[in-house]
Amino acid sequence: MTIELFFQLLPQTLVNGLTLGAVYALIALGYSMVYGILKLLNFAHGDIYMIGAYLGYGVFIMFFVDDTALIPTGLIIVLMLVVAMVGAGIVSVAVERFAYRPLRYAPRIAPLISALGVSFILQNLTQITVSPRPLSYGSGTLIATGNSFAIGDLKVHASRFLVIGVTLILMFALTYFVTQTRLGRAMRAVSMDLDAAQMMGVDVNQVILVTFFIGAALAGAGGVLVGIVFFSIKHTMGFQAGLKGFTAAVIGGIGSIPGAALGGLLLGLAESFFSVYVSITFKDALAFVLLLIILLIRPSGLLGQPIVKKV
Amino acid sequence: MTDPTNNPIPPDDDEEKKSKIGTDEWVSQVDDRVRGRSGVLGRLVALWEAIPESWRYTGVLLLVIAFPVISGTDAFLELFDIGDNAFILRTGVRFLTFAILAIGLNVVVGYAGLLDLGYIAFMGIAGYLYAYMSSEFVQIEGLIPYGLAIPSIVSIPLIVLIVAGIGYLIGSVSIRLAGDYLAIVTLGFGQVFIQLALTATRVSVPGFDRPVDLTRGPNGINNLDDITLFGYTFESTMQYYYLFLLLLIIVFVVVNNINRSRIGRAWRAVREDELAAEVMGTPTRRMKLLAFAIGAGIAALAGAVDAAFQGNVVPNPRYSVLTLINLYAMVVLGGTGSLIGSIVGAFIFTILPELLRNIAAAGVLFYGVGIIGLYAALRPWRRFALVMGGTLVGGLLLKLIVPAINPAWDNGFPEAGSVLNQIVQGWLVIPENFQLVGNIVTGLAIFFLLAAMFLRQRQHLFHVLLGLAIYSFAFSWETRLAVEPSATRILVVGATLVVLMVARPQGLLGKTEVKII
Amino acid sequence: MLHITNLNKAFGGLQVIHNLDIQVGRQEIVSVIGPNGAGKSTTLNLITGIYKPDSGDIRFEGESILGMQPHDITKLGIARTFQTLRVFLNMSVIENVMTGAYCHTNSGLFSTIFRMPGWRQEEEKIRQMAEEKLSFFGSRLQGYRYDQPAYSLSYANRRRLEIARAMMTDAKLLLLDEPAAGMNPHESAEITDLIGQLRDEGYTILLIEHDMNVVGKISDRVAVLDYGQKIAEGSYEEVTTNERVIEAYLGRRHEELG
Ligand SMILES: Nc1ncnc2c1ncn2[C@@H]1O[C@H](COP(=O)(O)OP(=O)(O)OP(=O)(O)O)[C@@H](O)[C@H]1O
Ligand SMILES: [Mg+2]
Repeated sequence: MTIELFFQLLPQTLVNGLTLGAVYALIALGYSMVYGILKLLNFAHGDIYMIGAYLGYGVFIMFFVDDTALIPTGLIIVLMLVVAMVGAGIVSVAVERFAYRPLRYAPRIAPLISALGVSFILQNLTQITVSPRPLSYGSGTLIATGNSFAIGDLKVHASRFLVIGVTLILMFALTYFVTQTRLGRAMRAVSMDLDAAQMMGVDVNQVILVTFFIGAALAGAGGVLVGIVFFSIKHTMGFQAGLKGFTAAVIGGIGSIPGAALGGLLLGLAESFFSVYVSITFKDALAFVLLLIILLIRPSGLLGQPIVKKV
Repeated sequence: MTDPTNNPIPPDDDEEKKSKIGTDEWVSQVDDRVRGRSGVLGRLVALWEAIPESWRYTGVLLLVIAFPVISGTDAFLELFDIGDNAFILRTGVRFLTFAILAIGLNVVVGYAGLLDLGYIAFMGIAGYLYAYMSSEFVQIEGLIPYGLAIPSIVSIPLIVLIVAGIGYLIGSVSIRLAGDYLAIVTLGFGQVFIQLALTATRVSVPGFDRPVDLTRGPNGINNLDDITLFGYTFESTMQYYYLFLLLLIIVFVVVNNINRSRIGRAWRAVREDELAAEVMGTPTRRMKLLAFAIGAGIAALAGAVDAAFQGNVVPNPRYSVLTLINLYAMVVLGGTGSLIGSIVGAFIFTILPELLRNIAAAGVLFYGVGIIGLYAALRPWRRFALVMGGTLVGGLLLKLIVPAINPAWDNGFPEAGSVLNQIVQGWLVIPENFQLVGNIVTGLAIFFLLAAMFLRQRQHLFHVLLGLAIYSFAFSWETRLAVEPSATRILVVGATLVVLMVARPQGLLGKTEVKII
Repeated sequence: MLHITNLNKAFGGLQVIHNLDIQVGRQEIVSVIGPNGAGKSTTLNLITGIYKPDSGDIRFEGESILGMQPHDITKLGIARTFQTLRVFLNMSVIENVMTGAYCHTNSGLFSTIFRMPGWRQEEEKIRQMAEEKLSFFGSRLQGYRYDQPAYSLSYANRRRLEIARAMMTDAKLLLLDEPAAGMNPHESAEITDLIGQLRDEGYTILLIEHDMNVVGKISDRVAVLDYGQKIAEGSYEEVTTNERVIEAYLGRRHEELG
């Protein structure tokens, strides 16, 4: 690759990486928050993201009849996000209530298997009740193809701004919630020591439900955004995305909220650069190689707390 | 015994009079008491346990040995009606393969307590190695002009050793990471493997001018040779059935022997309390690596022979996470740490989905399990009768009223597999566009069920919601689920997992674990 | 037999062990006492290799055991019990004890898989030895108890089980962390006798204990720790009348009042 080509591809690669990273970060946050509190690897989280994508699509087809919008596009996008976030949140809370809570004191592996079961159910239920084929937004339907902004020579499509902007807003909201509100502080207390927090009068069940809801809402938003950027969604999309989100969470330091954001961003950028400059076929393997390297250097992730061994 | 003052346990006859609740002995017998109580199932278990152990094993073994003969009879084929004898035998081989794999996974997860999510890759590596080593015609363009054709008797033990070595290496990299990190790193390893298998079709190898196709991508490598041992070639499904059965027995005995020795004790100690085990003189790291290597070796054995049996290696879905999840389900369902449990788990997860292939049988199973589940959840039986009766009558009322308002709302005719389906469909109100309605009702059914579980305290509401759930589930089954067998099968597997874990987190044959913090 | 010299350990900024020297001679019972948080358990964790000291040396029978893996240290002949009780709850009583034999048995994978005669003999030997160790505590850990899960045992019995497990490693030096904690006076008197008996059988014992009745009755020597420093050492009588020791136990009271 010549130097010119390298620089020519650089801005686009960067933008793609940021977009991808934003979505990974949104998924990673839910993984990380739930793990921080329950030490549970919520393998159904990727499918919650998928549910969010489908709910968003449902709103889309309700307001888009014959390629024409019934109400302003901006409003549709907001509605899509709200419905997806609330819906994904409710599904996730139901999952917690019925599939995880009864297993809170069971052997570690039991909730894991239960989570896998939930993942099977969500995926195949979607396949049966909606469609086994991918659903398409149709390129340019929601946000016109030409709707892009020029930064110097680079043209960036509006949808990319949407993804990055929405992600930033959600992250600020989350940070505010966790640091400034009573419930947010309770959440941090529970993630430090569940039993102690319980004894100090924190309603642990409530905190856990809220955690699941917020994590799922973020993932749901991620699902909608992915649909808008890549024009198409599928009932199996949760699996790979879930793995990536999980990887991002671990890279950043699982249990750490800023870590999840950082991990997502890093992973997105790394994948984007790798697939442009090195090899697109090994793109998916990259995530895990990266993960392995980071874990071997920093066993608790980039921003994670080191594990203290107390005897 | 020698010093009477040292003996705080009073003689037996004294003990009878005192309340035993809370004493050491009482606590230790909780399991037995729980089992003794549980009604019909308890009695069945008791009956089963009344048979001497050796008889039990011999009986089951004889049945398994005779199975290929039994399954060939017309009576059997008619009874189950899921395919011809070849198909049934293939399912049998599948079961045996998975039983071996599950035992290997059990060593890693159940004995040593390591969450290895890259396990399936060991099976895959063995498959590819078999393809490279033991096939005459398989060639890797540019790299190997024609297959190496190493005799199976040499290649298979070699593959097992190589893969066990790889397992050891992977283990030593990842074991430094605690608990769940091990899971994610091994998962990553599995992913890297399958990605390579799918994409390593144009790899530049030093010394070759053209890129080399190592795996043939998603299509995999075909035309693998059969296994030949001492001049005897395994060709038919039946021959492989017995080969796998023999391997299962060998693996079972080997693992069982290891488990009942100092190594097995060390594994259990590590799983219980790694630090205490280490301080009591167990080399915990070495024990974990040993478990990793043995697990990998067993997976390799199954993987190599399976590749020979199938005659090909195709990466997806055979070596994918989906298969891994299935394996985990088998091990956990059977009970981690229980060898027989792994076999039972493998049986349930390989045979049950095949039985569901037959729509009529699946229907019977669906309604049967549903009714038994309801009966168990709604004891005393009067409540059960109330809910079932209420739902039946409610449904009939709908059947009377709805068509009277608009006949178009009740003239849908989904496919009916059996008399049972016809009866149920006669009872339900099924509109013309039942596909679309069925989708919505499926969602509603789950909603009703969850709402019912959530509002269990409010008796009347609970019964009403349950009735609604029953009606919508029946509707959903008749209009949607039974029509989409492939997705429904996985759906049922998923639901089984969740329900079983919630009801019995330790698995069917596992022991309740006590953790005191 | 055990020589600890100039040992230091800090957690973060907290100096938990400070220039500690302790010697234990063959067949001696040395007790370490001190207020809560004085660093007694940490000392045991340093000896057994669970923590790595910041500086100083630990020698066992003349050989430095610094930097060795815990299981290798056990193999040399040092075994311990835990203050917080770490029996293998879901294993049977006899199996708990049998795990202690790992470091001095050597049946390999091959002889295990094929159940060679060597393996059979060794297993029998381990079982016998385990029963023998358990018989040390009278009949309460014998007979039907062998096959019961350890979680069914009472607190005191779990303490006994831990001692049996430690003895099973063929150790010469036993480190006992509060063996009488949670026992009633009758039981702790009994465990005191047993510890004395252990010494008579040839074991060397480093004992951590809060119960002064236990310490006073069997200790050859007593070392007192406070804030990680040894503030006194000597016979039980010497130590209990020592100004600084009394101050260490009661001193904070004075400060609070003053
Ligand atoms: N892993 C660790 N990290 C940080 N601090 C530790 C750690 N282990 C022990 N400590 C601290 O070191 C100090 C000494 O602890 P240690 O357990 O040795 O006390 P102890 O003398 O055994 O007390 P007790 O009589 O209560 O058992 C305590 O303040 C404790 O909080
Ligand atoms: Mg202590």
